[in-house]
Amino acid sequence: MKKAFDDIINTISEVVFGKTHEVKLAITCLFAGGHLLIEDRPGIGKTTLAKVLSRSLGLDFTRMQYTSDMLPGDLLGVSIFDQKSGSFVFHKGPIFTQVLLADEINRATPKSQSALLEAMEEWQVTVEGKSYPLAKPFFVIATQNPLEQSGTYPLPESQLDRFLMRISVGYPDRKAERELLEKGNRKHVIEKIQPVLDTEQVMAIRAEIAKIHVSGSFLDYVQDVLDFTRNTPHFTQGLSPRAGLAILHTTRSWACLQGRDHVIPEDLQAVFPYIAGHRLLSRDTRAEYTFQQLQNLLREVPIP
Amino acid sequence: MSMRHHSNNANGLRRDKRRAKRICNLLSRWHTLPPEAFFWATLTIEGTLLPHTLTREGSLLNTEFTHSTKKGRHPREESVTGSLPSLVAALGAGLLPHIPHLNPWIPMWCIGFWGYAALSETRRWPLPRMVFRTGLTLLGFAGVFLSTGGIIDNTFGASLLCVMAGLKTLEIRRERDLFITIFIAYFMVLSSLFFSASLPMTLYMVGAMIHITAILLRLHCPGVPLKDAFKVSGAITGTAIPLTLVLFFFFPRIQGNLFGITPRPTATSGFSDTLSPGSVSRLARSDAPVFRVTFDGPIPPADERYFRGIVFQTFNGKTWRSASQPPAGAFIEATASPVSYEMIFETKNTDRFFPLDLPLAIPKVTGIRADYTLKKPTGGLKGTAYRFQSATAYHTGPWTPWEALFTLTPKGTNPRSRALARQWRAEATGPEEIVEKALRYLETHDFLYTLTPPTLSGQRVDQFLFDTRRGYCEHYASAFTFLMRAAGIPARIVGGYLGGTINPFGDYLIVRQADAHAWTEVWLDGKGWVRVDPTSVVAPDRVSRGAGFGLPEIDRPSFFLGDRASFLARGIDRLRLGWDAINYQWDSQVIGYSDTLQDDFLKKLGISSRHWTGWLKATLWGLAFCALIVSLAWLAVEWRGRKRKPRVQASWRLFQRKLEKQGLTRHAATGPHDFLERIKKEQPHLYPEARTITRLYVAITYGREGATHEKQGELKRAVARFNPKKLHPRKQGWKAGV
Repeated sequence: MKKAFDDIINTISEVVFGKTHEVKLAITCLFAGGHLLIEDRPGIGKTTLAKVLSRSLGLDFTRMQYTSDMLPGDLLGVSIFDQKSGSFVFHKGPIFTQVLLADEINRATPKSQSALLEAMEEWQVTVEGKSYPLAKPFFVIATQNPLEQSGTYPLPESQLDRFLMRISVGYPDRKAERELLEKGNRKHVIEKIQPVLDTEQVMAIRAEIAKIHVSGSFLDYVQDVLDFTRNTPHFTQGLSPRAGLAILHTTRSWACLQGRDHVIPEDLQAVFPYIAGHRLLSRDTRAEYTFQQLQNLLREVPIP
Repeated sequence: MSMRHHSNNANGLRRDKRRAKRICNLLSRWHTLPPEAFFWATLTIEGTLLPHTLTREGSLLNTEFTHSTKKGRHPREESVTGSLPSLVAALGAGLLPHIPHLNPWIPMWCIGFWGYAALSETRRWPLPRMVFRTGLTLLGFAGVFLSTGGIIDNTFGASLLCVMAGLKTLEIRRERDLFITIFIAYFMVLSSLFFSASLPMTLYMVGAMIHITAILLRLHCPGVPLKDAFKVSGAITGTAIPLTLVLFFFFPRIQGNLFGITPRPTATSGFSDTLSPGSVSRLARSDAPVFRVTFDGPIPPADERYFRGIVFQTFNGKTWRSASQPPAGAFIEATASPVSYEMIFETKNTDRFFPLDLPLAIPKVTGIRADYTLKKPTGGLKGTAYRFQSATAYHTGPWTPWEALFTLTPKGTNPRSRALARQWRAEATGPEEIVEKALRYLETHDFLYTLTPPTLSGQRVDQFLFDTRRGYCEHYASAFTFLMRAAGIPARIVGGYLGGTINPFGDYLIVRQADAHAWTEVWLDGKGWVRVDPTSVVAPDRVSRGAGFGLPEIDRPSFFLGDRASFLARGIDRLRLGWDAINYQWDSQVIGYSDTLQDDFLKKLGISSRHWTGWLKATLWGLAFCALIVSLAWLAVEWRGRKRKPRVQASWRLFQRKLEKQGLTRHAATGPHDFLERIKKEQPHLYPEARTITRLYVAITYGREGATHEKQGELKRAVARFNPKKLHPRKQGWKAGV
């Protein structure tokens, strides 16, 4: 399984330079069965990352650009009256795919945002009283511009909680950028990428990950961390039980990515800032903690 | 402004203190009062006067800072709201054990005021003014005086305490009032010890303590769930147990009573100083226990269990009296091996011991009299265990002039009996034969043993012997003794108990009032005083099988279990006996742990209470005991910690200690793999072994297989082998690469 992961990472690295860690996190999130929120400026390579990821895994990919005048129907699909048959026929929207890139999700109105978030949670779409199940796997990569930009509707905390992880891609380092500049447009490369896996293999790996061993000692540690977020004065509110489950799924996936069949505390430490970053607010400043701050706070929880 | 208020308050407090002191002085000089009055009066001052002064102070502060409120009517403070019902619950727990000995109006008084106070908050009823409260206080005092008859004793004190506790709720305004009230509740529970220290009572007290502490906790931290409050207060009570045990065993027992309070001797419910027809049969209907006896050896048979208590000397034709005080000292020559036993008396007001037959060894609190009775004039026998040694076969020595008292008969009474006695005397060759004749007379003349004899008047002995011929043991003893004296044989009536019930649980004897009995002793030449029981010829079952057996069916008391009792009655009787056994153990082991028993116990530990070194030793023992408890608790905690990963954590810690000496300290939040990376970077020469250990540790702690026995052993060995000092860092320079 480690080989499969390495192949994917190598494939993606052909197009996305110098972002191995972020690529790993994105894969982790996908295999943990969650959704990913990427928060960064435009032009950083979010779309490329999403596209390459879906292609290398052999999954269907749809990109949805969110705008302020978008309606839920634009995403989910609409029922249109068919004159021939004399009945309403449901035309599936772009959400019926395997990897959905919801670009600039915070540009849409809350109504459209919630249409997507509901689908993410329920794994199905309900239009006019009928439910339509979504494809498997269904993986949403939503991108979000930093909130200081004008014309955005920030996602409420309750909806943020539905994203398993939030990462930020960041500028490429000097070497990677030079490579990017030298090699120029990589669009044609993306088209030529051969899938490493297919849908069944992705689902099989997910099933494997669910079997990764979690020991009692590790669960103690998870609970200590949860208690820490709830009972120390650093945060306005502690992590929810859903976040606790998110930690468990993510660490399993991360451990699998590292080629281990069991979870160790380092796994939690590696992914914790990406899970907790959008779920915790500082009690002092009412603002989110940076990744570095979260990592430092986690140092206060001893490993049992 | 504030300075002046402060000084005002200080003055007020000083004034109140002075007043309290004056009252104390007055009371202590009042010699005519019994000591308990001083005790209770002090408590009353503490219980009522102190809270009054405190609240008055509080109200002073309130009025001066908030001018809008009227004097004497201040709203309750914020912190007090909502706490009154729980306070009433605490006080109720204190009142409950007092109810049996209080006049019924006092519980009603308490419940009334408590109900008013508890409801006044939600219903917005006004709190009474100072004047009205003072009036109520005086009324309460008067009521207590009237209902107790002005006798200052325990009941008086308890009544006063409860009455004042009833009023206290009317003046709760400030937070400190809450705590004072809680302490009153504690005190009410404790003061019930003056009345009973039985096992159920003690269990109730522990429960009430937990209950009140839980309420106190909730007052301090409102919003704590009731369940948690009870848990914490239970834990607090639990932690107190070791200290309680140490104090129980080692704290010097004070001989007598701590406060000098002794129960006031009142009319006894057992034997009195006179014996007339009906005075024993009156007791026969009561199944109240009198005393319990534990024999060192086997329990003697029923017809040898005569417990002597009182000797009746003079007869006036109507009543036998035990008026005059016999001289001290007595002669007993045991002719068989003596019986040793321990007695615990149950009757509250008894002042007599009831030893088995003639006592050889007696407790030091009493002295033997010439009629072989033991008396403790101060009373208070209840609850303490007394050891005795008795002779069941004996010789009482030569005739003493004092014993001439036992030959007198009232002149001119009962001529027919006298004639009969004279006739026997003429016919017989010796006193033994006269005794024989008298017994045979009772046996053969259709006498009936009954609890409901006809009433006698006039020449009572004649009437009984020749007309009615129906009577209980006192009738037979009285008639027999009269006949003996008339025949010239010295004789006397002895009152006491015969038989008793053997409790199969605990193998001891319960003697009840129903076992009360009267018999005769005659003085025979060469033998001394000899017991003759005339009842034994009339109703042999009474003597050989116990009270109730000799009686006709219709006379038997309701609690009597005959041969034909149903299995249900037998079952209930067994339950009662079992419960009695538990209580008896409590009384003899815990309540009866007296200064002498403590002495014995401490002597076993090599401590003598006679000298200060003894107490030093006792203190050391106590400390050792505490240390033992503490270390046991520590062990328990440690054991619980080890049970989970006994060897793994220990090995892992040892590994880290070894690395610490090399300057590699793992941060508590650093995972084992990350730590290994650090070792690799900082001291690479340790890496190979550290890697083995870390991998093992991770496999055990986080791996799928978990902590198998082999892996634990492997880890332990690996850590034991690991010696960072012997592993030398690779030197850079000329040796590099060698």
